[in-house]
Order: sequence, then C-alpha cells, then structure tokens
Amino acid sequence: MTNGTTFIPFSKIIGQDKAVQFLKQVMAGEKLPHAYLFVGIQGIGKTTTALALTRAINCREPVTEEGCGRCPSCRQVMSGNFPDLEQIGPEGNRIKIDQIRQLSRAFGFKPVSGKYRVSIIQSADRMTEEAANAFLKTLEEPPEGNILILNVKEPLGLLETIVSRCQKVPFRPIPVDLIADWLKGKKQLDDEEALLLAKISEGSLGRAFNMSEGDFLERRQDYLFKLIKLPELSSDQALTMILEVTEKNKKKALDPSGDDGILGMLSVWKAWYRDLLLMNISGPEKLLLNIDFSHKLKTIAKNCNIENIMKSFQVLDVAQRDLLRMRNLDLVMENAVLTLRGLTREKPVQNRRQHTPDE
Amino acid sequence: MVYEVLARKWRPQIFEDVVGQEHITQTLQNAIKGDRLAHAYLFSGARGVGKTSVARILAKAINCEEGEPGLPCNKCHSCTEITTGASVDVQEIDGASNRGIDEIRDLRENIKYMPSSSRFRVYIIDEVHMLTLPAFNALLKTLEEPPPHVKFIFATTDPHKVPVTILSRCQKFDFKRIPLGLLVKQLEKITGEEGIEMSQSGMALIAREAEGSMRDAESLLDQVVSFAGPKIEDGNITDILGIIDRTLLFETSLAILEDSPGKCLQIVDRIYNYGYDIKEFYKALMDQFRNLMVSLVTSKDDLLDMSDKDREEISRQAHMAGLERIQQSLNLLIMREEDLRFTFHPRLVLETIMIKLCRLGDDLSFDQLIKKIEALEKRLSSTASSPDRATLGNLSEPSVNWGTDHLESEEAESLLDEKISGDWENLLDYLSSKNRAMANVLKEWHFLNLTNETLEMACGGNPFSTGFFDESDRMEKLAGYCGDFFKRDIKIKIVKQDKNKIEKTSLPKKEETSPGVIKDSHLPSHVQEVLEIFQGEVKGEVSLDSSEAKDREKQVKSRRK
Repeated sequence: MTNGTTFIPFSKIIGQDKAVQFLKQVMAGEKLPHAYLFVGIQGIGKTTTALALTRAINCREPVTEEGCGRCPSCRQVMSGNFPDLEQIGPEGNRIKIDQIRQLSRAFGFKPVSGKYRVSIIQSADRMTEEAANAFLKTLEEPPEGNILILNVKEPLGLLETIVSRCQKVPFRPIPVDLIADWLKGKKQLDDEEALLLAKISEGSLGRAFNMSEGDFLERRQDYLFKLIKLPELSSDQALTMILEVTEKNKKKALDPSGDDGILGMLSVWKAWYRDLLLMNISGPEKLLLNIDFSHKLKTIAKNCNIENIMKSFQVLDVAQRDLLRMRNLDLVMENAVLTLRGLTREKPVQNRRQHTPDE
Repeated sequence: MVYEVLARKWRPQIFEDVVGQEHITQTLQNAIKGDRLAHAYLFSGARGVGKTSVARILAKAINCEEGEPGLPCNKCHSCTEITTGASVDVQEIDGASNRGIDEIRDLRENIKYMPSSSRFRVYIIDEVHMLTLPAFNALLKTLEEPPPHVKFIFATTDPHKVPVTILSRCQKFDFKRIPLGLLVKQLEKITGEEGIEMSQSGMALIAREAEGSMRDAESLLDQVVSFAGPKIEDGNITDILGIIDRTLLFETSLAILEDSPGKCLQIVDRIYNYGYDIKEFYKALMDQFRNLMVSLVTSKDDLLDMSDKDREEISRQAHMAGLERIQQSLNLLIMREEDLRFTFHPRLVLETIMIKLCRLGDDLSFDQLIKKIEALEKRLSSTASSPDRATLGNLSEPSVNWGTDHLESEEAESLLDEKISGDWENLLDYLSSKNRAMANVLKEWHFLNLTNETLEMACGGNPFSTGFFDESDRMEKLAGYCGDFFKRDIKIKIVKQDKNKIEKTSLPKKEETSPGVIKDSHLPSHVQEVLEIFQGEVKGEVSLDSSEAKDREKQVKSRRK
C-alpha cells in the first residue's frame, strides 16, 4: 500500500519469491484463475505484486514473463493510468455494498484496452456483510477477461463462501535481514538502527519504511522510558503522565494498523512485555525485538513475576481492542496504566508451595 | 482461450454427477417422474456442496424437451440456454445484490406472464438469506400460491436467516458435507480425465483441507496444478496450500508437554517467518491436543484420522503427559482463542499462550490434588485405628512441601527404614510438580536403593520408559532434581534387572498400605502372605495344637456347606 504510487516489477519485489514464483508459473501455464486471495500482513508487497501481475498479463509484446515495459499497456500500468485496473478499498471503515455493485456493473463491459481487467479489493475483510454477499455471484463466475484480487490480512475475517471461491496466495513476512538491507540502501540508516526497525516491524517492509520516515524511534524511546518509570510513580503522577499522552494524541486518528498515536504506544509496550517474558524464561536472545534495550530488559526481567508479565500483556491487548471499539481514550488508558502500575509494583508473588506450611 | 477453473468446468450437469447428495437428487428425480413437483424449494447447506448446481439441473430437468423425465439431455435448446445462462424462462437471481422490496415487486410483476418457450418459468434465487425483511414479506403471498407455470428454487448457506413463514412454504432440502472418501473419489476422476498425476495421499490431503466442500477441493487442486504442472508430489501440496506440517505440530506439542518455553518461542518464530497463518496454526494446535486427548480416551482408530506412525507418536506423547495435563492445555487453548482472534499482534499473543501452556505443568492438577487428599484420608483413617506415632508423623505432613526442611526433622531420623522407600514416593511427588513428563515415566521404574551419594533404580517393562533416560540431558535433569530434593549431590545409577528380581524389589512399595508388615519380617513367609492379602496386622499370637486346629477347620467347612 505504501508503494502504491511507484511501480515495481516482479524481479524487484523483496522477500516474496514464493508468491511471485507461483504467479509466474501460473501465467506460463496459461491457467489464470478468475479470483485470487492475497493473504499476508500489511506492507509486505501484496498490492505491489498485484500491479506487477497486471502489467505482465496485459503486455502486448510479452518477451519476458515480466512484460516488456515499452508497449502502451505496460507504460500505462507503470504510470498508474491503466484503464482496466480498478482498485477499491474501505470507504470510511468498511467496503460498502454500493461499491461492490458498481464494480459488478463494470463487469458487464469488456476490458477497454488490455486483455484482462484487474480489480483489486484492498482490505477485503472489511466488506460489510451485505457487500460480501452481493459479491458472491460475481466472484464465482465473472465474465471472461476479468481477474479479481482480494487483499486480506487473514482469511478468517472473510465469509467462508468467499474464501472458497478464490485461490489463496500466501505472502510471507519479509526476513529481518532483507528489510535491514533495504532500509540501509534506501534510507541511509546505520546498521543498528536498520536492524532495530526491521525487528520491530515484524517483517513488514511498509511498517519499517513508515517508522523510518517519521520520528518513530524517538517516540518509541520516550514511550519505553515512561513505561520503565511507571512503577516509581504515585498513582496521581501516573494519571497525569498518561493524560498528557492522550491529550497530545487526541487529534490523531486511531489507525489500527499504524504505529502512530496511542495504539502505536500500546504496541511498543506490548513488544516490551513480550521481551520481558522471553528474558524471564531465558529464551534465545536472537528472538529479542527491542535489541537496543537488551541489558535493561535482562535486569528488569529478573525481578519480575512471570504471571504478572503475562497479565500486563493481556491488559495492553485488551486496551488496544477496547480503544477501537468504544473510543473513550482517557478512560481506557487510565485504567490500563493503573492496572499496569499495580502489576509491576507487586512484589513477586511467592511460590504457592512455599506458603502451604503456614496454612 | 481463457482458462476455466476446474470448479466451473466440472460443475455437474446431470443429477448422477452430483457427489454425495443422493438423498436429494433421488427425491427430486422421483418427484419429476411422478409429476409431484412442489412449487418452491429451499436448498441449504455449507459452501461448495452443490446447491446451485442442483438448482440448475432441476431447472433443466423440468424444462427439457427431449430427455427422459428426471434426466436433462443437455443438448436441446432449453438445456443449452440454461447452461449458458441465456434462458428467458429460467432466471438466476443474485439474492444478495437484488435484495430490496423493489426487486421482489418487479419479480411479482413478471410472474404472471406465461413462459416463452418452456413448460415452466423457474426463478433461482441464490444467497436468498440476504433478502431484506420487507422483501421476504412481499414474497409471501406469491410464494404460497404461485401460478402453475412458476417454480421457485432458493439456495442459501444460512437457512436460519430466512423467516419461518418462507421456510414453511418451501420444500426444504439440507445438503450434507461431502465425506472425505467421496471427495477423494471425485478428485481421482478429475485428475484422471485432466491428465494429472497425483498420489492417493496427496488427494486425501487436499480433501481434508477442503472440509467437505467440493468446490474447495477443486480450487485447491487447481491451485496445485497451476503451480506444479501435471505431475504433483505430496511435498508440493503441503507447500503451496500452506498446510501445516504434522511433524511441526508434533514438535510443538512435545515442546509444550516437556515444559520448554524457549523451544516454543523458536517454533513460533519459524512459523511466522514461514508465512503460516498464525490463527490457522492455532487451530491446528488445538486439533493436535484434541487428538492427544482422544488417543487417551478411546482406542477406536476412526476418531483419529492419521497414519499409524503418527498415531503411535500421538499416543506416546499423550501417555507421557497424562490426561489431566492435556485437558488443561486444551481448555486454556479454547479459553484464549478469542484473545488471539481479535488481537493486532497474533504472534505475540500466541507466544504468551504457548509460554502459559508450558507453565501448566507447574500447577498442581486436580487429579494430583484429589490423589493427595485421598492418600491423606486413607492414612488418617489407618492411623486412627492403630495410632502409630511414627506413621502419623510421617503422614500428617502434606507431601507437597516435602524435600526442604523435612529431612532434618526428628521423626525422619528415627525412622530411616520406612522413610527411604517413602522417599521414592515423595521424590515422585516432588518431580511431578517440577517435571510431570519425567515423573510419569519414573512411575514405571522401580526403586532399589538410596545411599548418601547414589540412588539406584531399575527400569520397568515398558520400552518407552526404559529408553527415556538414554539421553544424557534428561539424566542430568533428574540428577539436578534429586539434588534439589535431597539437599545433597546424588548420583543416579541405573541397574539392569531380570523380571523376577524386579517384582521382588517392588514389593515394599505395595506393602506401604500396611505399615505393620515390614516390622514383622521375622514371621514365616506364609503368614506374611496372609497379612499382605488381607492387609492385616498381627495383634497377638494364639497357640493351637494340631488336633484343635483340625477341629476348627472342620467347623469352618461345615459352616460353608
């Protein structure tokens, strides 16, 4: 999605060899199905691949499997003016039935200039129930020369009846070193920063890119320091602290996938607790996310009770969910922070077995 | 030519081709032959089981000009028109797109006209559950008494969303999920005709993934073929379809049951980077634990749908962990499923759940607790009848906190003999709180001797438990636990024994229920046997001369008669 404006051919797509290979072979065998389901987290090249596919199958002088890059349709695709390419995505929060109806209506006509009309549906799992149902018949038997590509994070959010009509193409998270290399090449980051971003982004190039754009790293540090200091604050201080943060972020939209604002902070915190957990069970260090804090994490983890770490993690997860559902920012955050504070301050609960003799 | 996916190419065109729905196709065919057609049908069932296909075939069959009744010819004018969707008299309406009352009113307007060329006007409304409530209500009157030349066929995956007033006006047919065997058979037919080479197990893999839906099976097959070409190996299938490898699941469940959270995290890392869907994996993991549970509960093989080798592995792991642990794990998995479903960070949530699962072994299970209470009760009641200070002291301590200060206590010293054999039990108890898997294995072992430096033990008959300590790190672990328990360094010595000897040495364990016996070891062996059988004790000795004894014997015998 992030790279939607610039065109990237198959050969330059990072870390999706398997998906690309799959599509190429299908093209070579002339067995293009009419509906694809691209599955994978956001920012790993689903749309990019869909565009590359559009160019490849519509090329008028197909010398390579990539498309020639010179014929009119190739150039149209590359410049983003291809008439037979349709992209729809959520309007507001959902994809509505009218959008689907409009799309289906367009199917009544033949492709204007190319061989295939490609329709890309972004975040297809955010179709309303009506829209999804209205889509079923078109999806099952669209007129000749139409290819539908549905992009989703995970197929569970879709109707079973939709999933069963499509061919699933899984997109993998991009390996950490590939992202780090890419960041180094593109953004001139130093090794350590690039690796850190690659780790935190959990395999999403788009996320890593966005993080490197803004002041994410500084904000992250700020968030982490706040969290580390939390147990020392009195409950009043903790409340003022969190209210300051919410006040600052009130205007920013609660973008569920982004690393901005409050949700971003919660994600940072979650990663922190996850690392604490890892250290607490003395798991392999190469799985650590917050590599720059590894020393601090180790010392803190030693004094933590594993149950409390898990509980804290759950508190954050629930808070994140609640924010999207009820959106009373202050209330949710106050509650979360106070619970966290309580959990971190609690003395490690002694093992139950050691208690029994007294009872 | 534009490629047509298998699911569309192989859409059945006559009733006989529909797989796995004989109860419906037979009924419909008989209805046509007997001229007892209803004016409205409702087809319901899961995705891809043949609802729309049967609706189209039915439309063709009742309008066909040439074929026998119930067997559309697929050649005549009417049949070809319906197949291509060009027929004026057979209209297939997408109920989800045309869901409003206006569309239904239009439909009612048109209903009164006679069919142009066929016998009936047929309205097939697919996805009918998406009609709005007013639309449904507007349909009611028409549906109850339509003109004789009109037939309605509704198809839906969600019959419960259709108002009862509509349901009661239709003949309702429930389409079943297609059984695995039939799916495989159909796949065989398709691959045969399409010139695709594929092994039987590969087809089974696809069929399982399709979960009873023909269309799913066909699209999966399509996908595999378009990637791997006409020659398909099983590896291709698991790879392309992202089916989670059984061996990976076994590895995961083993890591969990062996309480090694580090290993679990590494597995999650691998899954994530491989691009498996985390939630799919979770589902598979739940299945895995379900299988573990089933293997303990029943010996019926048909509930466990897997190869013999896998089944062996399953039951090995299941026996190692014990039912309670597996049930607890499964419970936790079910409870936390919701967390995973709604979270933004499935990976992190999965990791915490896995760690939690590993820690389940630390908590005492219900079973254990109840066993402990029972043991306590038993001991209390036995001590009540013979208040033996020594045993009382030994037993009133809950065995949970054994191991730390207890060794130094006074009673312990005075009663070394009993304690040593009791120690074994307590060690097992202690172990089961630390490492249940190991404790369960050790229960099959026999305790031989305990000195200040060494613990001798002999293996039981079970080959699995015998081989358990062949791995040196497990041995070290055990030595570590023993060290913790006895508060001194203990070497473990494994003694190989023949059967007879084992039975002998395991005797003291059985006798534990009757504490008196050990003390009376000076008694002749047959008396000991009697004591053991009746779990009695010697209250006092009564001397009898032999004649008296015989008399008594006679008396007893006559009483029995």
